[in-house]
Formats: sequence, C-alpha cells, structure tokens
Amino acid sequence: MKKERFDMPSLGKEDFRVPEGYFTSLKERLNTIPDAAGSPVCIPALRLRDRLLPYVALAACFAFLIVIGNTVLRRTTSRNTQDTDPLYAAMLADLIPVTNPYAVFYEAEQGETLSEEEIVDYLIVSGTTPEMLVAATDEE
Amino acid sequence: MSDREIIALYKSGQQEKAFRVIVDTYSERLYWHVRHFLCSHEDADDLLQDIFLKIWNSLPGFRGEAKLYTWMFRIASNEALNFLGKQRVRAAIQSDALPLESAREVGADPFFNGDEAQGFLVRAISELPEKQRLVFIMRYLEEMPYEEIAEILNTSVGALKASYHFAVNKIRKKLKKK
Repeated sequence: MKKERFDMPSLGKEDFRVPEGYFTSLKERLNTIPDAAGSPVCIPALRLRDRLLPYVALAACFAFLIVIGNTVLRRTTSRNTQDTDPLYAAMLADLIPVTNPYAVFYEAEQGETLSEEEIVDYLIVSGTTPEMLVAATDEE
Repeated sequence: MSDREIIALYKSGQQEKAFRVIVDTYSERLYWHVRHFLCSHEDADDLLQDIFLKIWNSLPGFRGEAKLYTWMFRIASNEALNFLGKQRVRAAIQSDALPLESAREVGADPFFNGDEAQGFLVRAISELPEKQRLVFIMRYLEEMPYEEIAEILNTSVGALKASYHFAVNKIRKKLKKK
C-alpha cells in the first residue's frame, strides 16, 4: 500500500510531534499505575453450577406457578360442578331428612312402597291435622 | 521481550515488572495510535493513562487467545471510540459546540507540524465516521496489514477493505472540494 496512490499529501508520524522528553515522562507516569491502582481485582470465572442457577431458579418459579394455577383451577371447577353434577345431587338428596315431602314423593315415584306406619309418622311430623286430611280427601 | 515472555513473567507473580515491560514496549505505539485517531496530543495523553489503567486491571483476565499486542490495541481502539462518542454527546448537549470538534482540535493542536495540505487531510480524516476513521488510520497512517486490523477490530478482511475504500473515496471528494 502506497500513500501516493490516492493523490493525497503524505502524512506520517513526523508531521505530529510531542513535547520534549514526553515519552520518558509518559513511561514514568504509566509505571506508577500499579502503585496507585493496587493489585488488579481478579474475578474468578463462574462455575457451571453458578451459571445454571438462575435458569434453574426461573424454571422452578414457572413450575411453582403452574402447580398453584392448576390447583386453584381444579378447586374452582369442582365447586362449579357440584351444582350440576347428578352424582353430587344424589349424594345431597341422601342428606335430606326423610321428612322432606319431596324426597318422600320421589321415593314413592320410584315404586318403593311406604308402610302405613311411615305415612302416619310423616303426617304427624309435618303437622298435618285430621281435619286437613278430611278436607284433602273431599277435594279429590 | 516477547509477548509470551511478558505473560509468563506476569503469571510468575512479578506483575508490576511485567507491566513495566508492557509500558516500555508498547506505550509509544499505543500513543501514536490514539494520537492519530484523536488528532490531539492533550486528549491522547489523557486517554493513554486510562488505557494503561484498563490494561493493568484486565491483565488477570487475559487468556492468551489473542496476541498481547492485538489485545492491547483492541482496548486502545475501544477506549478511543468511547472517548470520541462521549465528546460528541458533550458537543451535542452544549448548544454553542462546534459541529466538528476534531477539526477544531487539528487547528488548535500546537504539536501538529504539517503544512496546509496535510492539515486539510487530517481534517478530512477527522470528518469520517468513527469506525471508517479507525480503519483508515490503521491502514494508511500506521500501515498495518488488513489481517492484523481484522484481528484487532474483530471483523472480516472483506469488511475492512470495503470500509477503507469508502473512507478513501470520501477523503478524495473532500480534498477536491477545498
């Protein structure tokens, strides 16, 4: 590479100068850097475990969030199904006292026969008076 | 003393002695590298102190993957680029700042010996984009081979040749305009 090729004025180190004895004083100044700055701080290279730790922590956070989210979702969903699930309705029906007229009616509809004693017990518990029974029979 | 011997000296525990050898061997070359780039003796002098401080602090991390000389030139080039970047930001903040601070430096630098034509050339160089300027200086003024510049600037020889070509064309145009 020749500078003349570009039809430019030649330019070199000789066209720039420095103060008298500059490089001697520069070297002296630069040689004081270790004393002024002290020993360089040696930063040890990170071990594989330390390098992976943030990623593992991040993955653990994600897993935790997924588990929590899944649990909350399951609970919410199961509560909603309790209202509509026929199995749950049947279970609930078992908890209803036998004195519940609807339950009795339901059972009667299923073809189970009630004994006379059960009917009497029901009428007593439900507060049905003999007059009401007579009136009801008359209506029919 | 070769780069390998300097590093061996450093690793043997004689860190200050190794640093002194580095200063003796490379301070002048690094000074000229920075001086050509910044076009100012004062700025080059200030920056050289920072560059050698950085070299001292970074030496424990030097793994020997690159040559010591290449590694130090890379530090110097990066520091010079940062310095210019800061200077530009400062100039942009100050409303009365000159648009070409380096051009101002060329005229103001009492340590420039060149004639008027050389002054124009230095001014044209200082108006180049920073990276083109760096490539041009390393190739034209310091006469480094492309392979070495590529290693220092961590780029390809092809990209450097293109960058140098653009820089030469820009300088030619500027010199024709004067």
